[in-house]
Amino acid sequence: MATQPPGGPKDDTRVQLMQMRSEIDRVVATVNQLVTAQAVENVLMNGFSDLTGELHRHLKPLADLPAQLQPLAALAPPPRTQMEPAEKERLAAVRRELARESWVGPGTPGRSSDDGSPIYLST
Amino acid sequence: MIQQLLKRIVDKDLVSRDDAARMILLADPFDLLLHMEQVWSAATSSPLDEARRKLWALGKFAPYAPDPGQRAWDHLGYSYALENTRAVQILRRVVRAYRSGESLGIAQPDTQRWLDITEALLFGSTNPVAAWLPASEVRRSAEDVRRNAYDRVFGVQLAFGTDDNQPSTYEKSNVTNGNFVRLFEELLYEVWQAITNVKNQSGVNATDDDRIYRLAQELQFVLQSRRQQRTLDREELVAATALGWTELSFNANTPVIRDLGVTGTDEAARCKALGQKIGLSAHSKSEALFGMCADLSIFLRAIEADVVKKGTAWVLYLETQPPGSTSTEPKPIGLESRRLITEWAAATGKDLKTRAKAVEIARPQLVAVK
Repeated sequence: MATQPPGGPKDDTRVQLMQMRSEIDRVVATVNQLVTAQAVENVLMNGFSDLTGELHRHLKPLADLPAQLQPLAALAPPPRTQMEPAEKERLAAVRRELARESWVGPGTPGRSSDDGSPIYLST
Repeated sequence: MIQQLLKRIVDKDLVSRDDAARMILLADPFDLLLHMEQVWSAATSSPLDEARRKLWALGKFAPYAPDPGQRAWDHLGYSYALENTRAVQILRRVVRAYRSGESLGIAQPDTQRWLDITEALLFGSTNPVAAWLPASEVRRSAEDVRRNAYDRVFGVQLAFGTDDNQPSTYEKSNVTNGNFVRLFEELLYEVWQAITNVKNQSGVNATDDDRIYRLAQELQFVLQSRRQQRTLDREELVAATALGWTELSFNANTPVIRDLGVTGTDEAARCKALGQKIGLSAHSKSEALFGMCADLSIFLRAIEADVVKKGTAWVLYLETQPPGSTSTEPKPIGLESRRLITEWAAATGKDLKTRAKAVEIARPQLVAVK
């Protein structure tokens, strides 16, 4: 089988492949940068969300924020929906009805079950 | 019912947990039965039952009655989890051995009182008020009544047969919630996804609030469908009383535990040691079953109470109130859900933290018809 002389079609293919790989590497790097930027943006937005939530609760309504911060308010994720009063009452009732003592822990000093001694003595 | 009574004694009399437990363990079985009826009356009060209310008020525990309208007993899931440890059958053998001979030695006075209460609450010994009103000549033993209830509400059976290892012959119902376990485990999986993403500030968030809401709603429909017009409420209360007593018997080194020389550091250890002593092995996953019973009760009761609405699925996975809530509002049940997921996975051997079957993305594509 004859050997291909330098500069023939096979070398051209190799060069093209290397160029394509270089392009792909650049695309991957760009995508990674975008993902990182998105993550950073998410952190900033969530931080801002917490901040606006606190402001909303303690200081003043979101609408009264300085004009420079108003665009950020639109980007903040919505707060969690609050429960209706009737649902809160039902959940509180469940908690009240099923309240119980914990049996994990030392209990009464000197009569603990966890130190291996019986807590109930014969009468 | 028993654990809630203990809590009410602690809160009202400002005594320690152990003193309240002693009060219950040394009580007369009749007092406990009167209180159980009082709890039932509080939940189902009617102006017509004056004589009944006066009778219940004679009991020792009358001052600790729950407020009217309260259903102050655990969900049937609590009883199911505890009964699966086989603790009731172990106690049956203990009672039989003590009552029929001296193979376990002579019981001390406080253990004899424990035997009286155990026979009354668990095994239907005669009393002015019978604990097992749901059991009769028609419905045979108390255990069969409970097995029937578990089957109807959860579509499941206990992990074992009778205490002599024969298949149980309880009365089968024509309707059962056969899809309960599938829905329940799917909901726990989604809740776990949400729990792992509560603090997620930047990555992909797999929380699906709408799916949690939909599963919770469907589960509520399924559970309520077996409980219309208070069906099975009475069975649930009596089961919770019997299994509550069983749990209390193992919560500490109680008289019977001491007399039998099987002291341990937790409920499962005491139950297993007692089972070995009387020749009936407890469930190998007893730690998980004891560990989740109370959390399972709160979880299922919250589902039944219809507190999960569109947009408020966070009730099931947050541990504290979200921003904007006041401190007086009830805490979400995220802590209970987390514990329940861990213990349910341990008890059943199913890993609820990963999806059992991955979504297939390499399935053959439909081809165009030519």
